[in-house]
Amino acid sequence: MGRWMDGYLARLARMRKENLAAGGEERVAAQHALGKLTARERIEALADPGSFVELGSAVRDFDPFRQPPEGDRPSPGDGVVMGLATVDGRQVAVYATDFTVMSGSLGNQGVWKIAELVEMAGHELLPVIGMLDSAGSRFGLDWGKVGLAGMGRLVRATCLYSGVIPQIALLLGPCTGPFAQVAARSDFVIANRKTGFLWLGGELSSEGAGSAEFHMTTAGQCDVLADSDEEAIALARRLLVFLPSSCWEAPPVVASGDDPHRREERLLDVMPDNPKFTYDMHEIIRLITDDGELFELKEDFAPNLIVGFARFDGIPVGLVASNPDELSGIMEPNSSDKYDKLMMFLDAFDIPMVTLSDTTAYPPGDKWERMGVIRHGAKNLHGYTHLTNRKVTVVLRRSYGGSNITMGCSKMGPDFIFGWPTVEFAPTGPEAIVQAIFHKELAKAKEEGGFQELYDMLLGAVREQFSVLNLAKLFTTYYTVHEVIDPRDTRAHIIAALHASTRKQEDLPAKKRFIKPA
Amino acid sequence: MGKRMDEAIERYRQIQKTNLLGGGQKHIQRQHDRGKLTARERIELLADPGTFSELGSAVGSTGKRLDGRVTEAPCDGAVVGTSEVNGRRVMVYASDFTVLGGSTAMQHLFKFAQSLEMAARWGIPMVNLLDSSGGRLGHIDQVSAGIEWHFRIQSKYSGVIPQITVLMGPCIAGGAYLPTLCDFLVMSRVSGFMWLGGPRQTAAATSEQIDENIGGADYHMQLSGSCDLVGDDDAESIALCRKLLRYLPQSWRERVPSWETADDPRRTVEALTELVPDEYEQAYDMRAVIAALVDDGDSLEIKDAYASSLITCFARFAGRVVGVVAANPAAGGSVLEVDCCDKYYRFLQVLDAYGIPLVNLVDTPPRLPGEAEEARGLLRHVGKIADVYATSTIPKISVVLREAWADAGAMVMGVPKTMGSDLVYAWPIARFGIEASRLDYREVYGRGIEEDAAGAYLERSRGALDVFDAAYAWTAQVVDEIILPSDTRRKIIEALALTAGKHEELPRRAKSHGSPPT
Repeated sequence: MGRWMDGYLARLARMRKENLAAGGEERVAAQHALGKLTARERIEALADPGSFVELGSAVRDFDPFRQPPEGDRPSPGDGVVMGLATVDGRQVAVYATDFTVMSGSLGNQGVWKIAELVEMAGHELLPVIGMLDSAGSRFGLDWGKVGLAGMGRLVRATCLYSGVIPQIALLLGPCTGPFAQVAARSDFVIANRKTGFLWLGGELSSEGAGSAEFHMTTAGQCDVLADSDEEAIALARRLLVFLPSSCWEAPPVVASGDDPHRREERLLDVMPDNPKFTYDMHEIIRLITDDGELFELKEDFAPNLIVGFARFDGIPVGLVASNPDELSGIMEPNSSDKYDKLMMFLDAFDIPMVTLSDTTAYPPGDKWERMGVIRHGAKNLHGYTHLTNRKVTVVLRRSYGGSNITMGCSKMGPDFIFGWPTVEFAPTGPEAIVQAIFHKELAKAKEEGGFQELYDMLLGAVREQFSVLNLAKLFTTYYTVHEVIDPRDTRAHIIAALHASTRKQEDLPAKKRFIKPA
Repeated sequence: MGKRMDEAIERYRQIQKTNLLGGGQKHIQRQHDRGKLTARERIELLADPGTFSELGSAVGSTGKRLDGRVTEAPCDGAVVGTSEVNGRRVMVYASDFTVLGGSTAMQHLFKFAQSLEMAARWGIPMVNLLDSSGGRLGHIDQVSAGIEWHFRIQSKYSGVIPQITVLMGPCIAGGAYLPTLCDFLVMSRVSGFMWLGGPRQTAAATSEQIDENIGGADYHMQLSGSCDLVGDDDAESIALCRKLLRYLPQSWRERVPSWETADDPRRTVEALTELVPDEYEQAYDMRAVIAALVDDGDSLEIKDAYASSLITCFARFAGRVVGVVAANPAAGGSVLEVDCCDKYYRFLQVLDAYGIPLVNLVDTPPRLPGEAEEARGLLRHVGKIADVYATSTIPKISVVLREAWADAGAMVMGVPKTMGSDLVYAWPIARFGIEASRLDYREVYGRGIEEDAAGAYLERSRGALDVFDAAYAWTAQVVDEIILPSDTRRKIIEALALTAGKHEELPRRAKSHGSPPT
């Protein structure tokens, strides 16, 4: 090696040193004091050891018209650390805003780095993982600065590649201004519950507004809460295993030792003896998935509907299940949004969807009407219609009204639909139907006596009409199933259905784009 | 002619004669007493004179009441057929309230569902003149076979052919999905109401008069956002439907025909500098601006009394049909409010589905939605409309009149151009900015943001830039050309001509949709 090469290596080494120093010792210490990892530490925690290949490390907050051009603060990477890595052997693209560099704010070059990384990921078909920790924007458009154009490019890229590659956002600090759109555009948001903050920029006054908790329980913009950066990153790794790397691949099958034919006696004990009472659907889920595992999303948002990922005989699926324990498992606008997001993702990536239904569907009332309950129900059934992935429905107990269409029941296009013998299909609750059809007779009995007897008799007769054991005598109608099954065989049936539909092909009428109700 | 033919023809004529009376003169009178028209009267108003060709006129009911009685039901309460509207063929379905309350039973549903299938196959719009008490309770009917849920059928053809519902009667429970799955809903103030269900459900099912305000046209226009147009009565509502059809093509495979106009495409609009104050704080009525610009001052506004901070309307420029989307400074507020995002989302999907260009008149004052909107999931609703904007391939033309702030709505109106707009013109008084937000995140969030962050770097993204400075650099990608206000109409017409043959390819994806925010 000669002096000439040595000289360059020395300069490269100095640049690397600057990069590793990030925003300086003080800022790094401050980051740790807040319980946060630095950008590089986060990438390190995510990536397989030694797999990180950095891109754009030489970039600085460079303004040729400023003296000095690089400004008076360190700006390694212009505050963005990014590149390629493998996660559990899988190629990904990853970026992390560096909070130690100008509080993680986005600069002109920094925003273009991220924009081009997302486009790169779209071309190379790599999942994108963004680690967001940024106090806002510092890019411009004056004198031709390219930052605003870069933000547009970034937002558009997340849209163009939505459904092509999975996009995961880790909210590990603040994320504000136009950049906040990137978090909301991601397929999944995992937030550090202590430090996460997401806000577009309008006025706020309440304690906790914009926090991770706020976005989980109120705004519905957060999927999982973690107690630390490390936990958030570990959750991202776990989530990734359920996903394919792009829409052109299948997600990995992860074999477990769990017997695909396992007959589960405990399933008979979950439902209470009185059909009026509730139970926790999580119990049923735990008894049928591989090893009882469920990676739940948006756990505290619209808990009346459970959504998440699970596996059946190693096959990853999206799971959607009403939870009678919460709000009686009704469907309403928030649960509709939660359902829609997951079902569209599942379909885009051709991941199977398994729905477990036990719900009285959409409740009437002025409160719900103003929230647009009709539009949201329509949104789900419009969405379900456009799914061409594998769809397996298991109906457990009540299947009334709108749920017969939005939860994937007969003639809505599920590949297979099974029902427990306890299932009741009805256009609305049997009680309401009794009132509707026999209101004259009941009014008379109220006056003349014998109301309760008459009501109970009529209700019993109507219930008998709507029992699946009666309705399933017809194969061709809306209110039926492919097969009434023993509850203990639920897992086995789901698995059989998934295997049978492995090579499925389904087409929809050609169109440019659908027109979704909401 | 032989005797058998004579008798057969007589029998045919008898059916036609009976059909004209529907459920009988008494019911027709009741309809009129309520200010409502009959199904056939409505079809007469919808169709160009003498163009209605009925299908299924010989259909009757195959149902029986619970007590075994068979009821007469001409056409099973559904009048179906084709007609011409403004010289173009459409399929029409009209529920006949005089026949058992227009209730749906098997033959009725089949007529609706299959006429929709035919319309979709032939590429002609579907118009539903809806006035139905819902499912025919207390009847059992023939078994259905080979037919999917009609809601699924509607959803499948969403975006294939225009589907419009004119609601001129009750629409309750599950029936409420029918209008919401359509592209547009017109409601008659006098007769239309829509309600998912409730204590009133029973009353509605038995055709009793109920309080008009619940779930009425104005309710759904102003509060739930489900209704697009309101007519004072049935006749006006149908006239609105005829007008709406002129702005839509026959199907997604065709372009909407241009209108004739005598309005000079080179007309300058001097009035604009009077209509739009050059002091940014002063509000003005954007509708007056639109009227001054478009052919013959004529437009059809959609959802005019909903989310009034945003205007969505159809209009023409030199005969070419476009969708105009603009802020309404007179209404105050922000175009990014959740309801505005939903309104824009619905409208833009229609434009892109049917190849209708988008014209944005941009004036986004530096006002962001606040905490109440954030709590509703502001960012994911903004993400929804950003997704449609970024992935639509119709010509997108923007004119910046006064202000364009990236975090206040400019991005979903084409500024910067990297969001996917084709041409951005700007008035000489225009100004641009990135963050209109005034929030000091050190106060609001704190936690590690540098003390001098605001002054040292965050301020770089706050503050306005006048159009001459913004347009000085092509690299900023925010303005293609500064124009004189009086030339706005001319320039829009020129832009539409330039982009008439636009063809844009998006990144390939496995399914027709991505995984957008909901």
